[in-house]
Amino acid sequence: MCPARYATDVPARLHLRCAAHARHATELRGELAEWSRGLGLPEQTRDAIAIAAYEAMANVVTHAYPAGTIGVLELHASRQADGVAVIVSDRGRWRTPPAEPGIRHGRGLPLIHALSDRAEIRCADAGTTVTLTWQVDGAGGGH
Amino acid sequence: MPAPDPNPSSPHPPSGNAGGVTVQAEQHGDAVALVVTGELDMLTTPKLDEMVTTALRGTPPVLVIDLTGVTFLASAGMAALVSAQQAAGENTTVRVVATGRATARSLQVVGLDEQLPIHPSLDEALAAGR
Repeated sequence: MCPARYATDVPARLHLRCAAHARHATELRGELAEWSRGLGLPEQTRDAIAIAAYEAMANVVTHAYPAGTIGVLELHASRQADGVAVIVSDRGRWRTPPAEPGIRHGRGLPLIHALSDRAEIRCADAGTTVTLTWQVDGAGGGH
Repeated sequence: MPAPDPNPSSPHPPSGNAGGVTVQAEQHGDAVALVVTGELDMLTTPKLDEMVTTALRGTPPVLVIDLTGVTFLASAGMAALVSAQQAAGENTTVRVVATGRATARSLQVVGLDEQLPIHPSLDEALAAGR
């Protein structure tokens, strides 16, 4: 049942959709890691992609949907001319993190921002979309 | 207090299987080391939390959480480290071993390298003064 595969025409793009469960976020992370390995990206960029994308998915699993409901978690990764774009989206509602999140929370967004070259969070009635991009020039470089 | 139960809930050897973690408790003199192998994400971190709770029951003077074998560290895993430090209180010093690219950089990014004593190896963490 999960993950549902929409496109895996490596190296161009990867598109997967799942129910927003923690175990599926782990599965999608594995698929994304395999995809980025297939692209031959630098190791540090692959690590950054894996962590930032996972934190975005963890936010969906933890915050997007009310308790007891099963929502959608979608992962889209694509090779761009100058790098890689990873999009994590849901059909739920973005909740602004509390100012004092407590010791167990509040590290996901800083990780997302620090490990990606660009992170954009777009909230709409239809759901939240987190777009992460990394510049990769030629063989080396990257994040 | 006898040595903490060595990992009752992990039937799998530390084989690098995606999505899995192994936490092994080791007694080093008075100190306890929790040697973590695998991936620490929101799915697997409860196992570390559980082992920390068990280890702290014995009030060891030093509790080392060794992340040398960790290949993926999410914010959930970082939360477990901070929780361990809080739960330890004044009687137990919590130290973390992190060197690999999968762990050290992320800990720096969120500033945990300033909140927790981070050592390059288990031996150095155990040898550090109390």
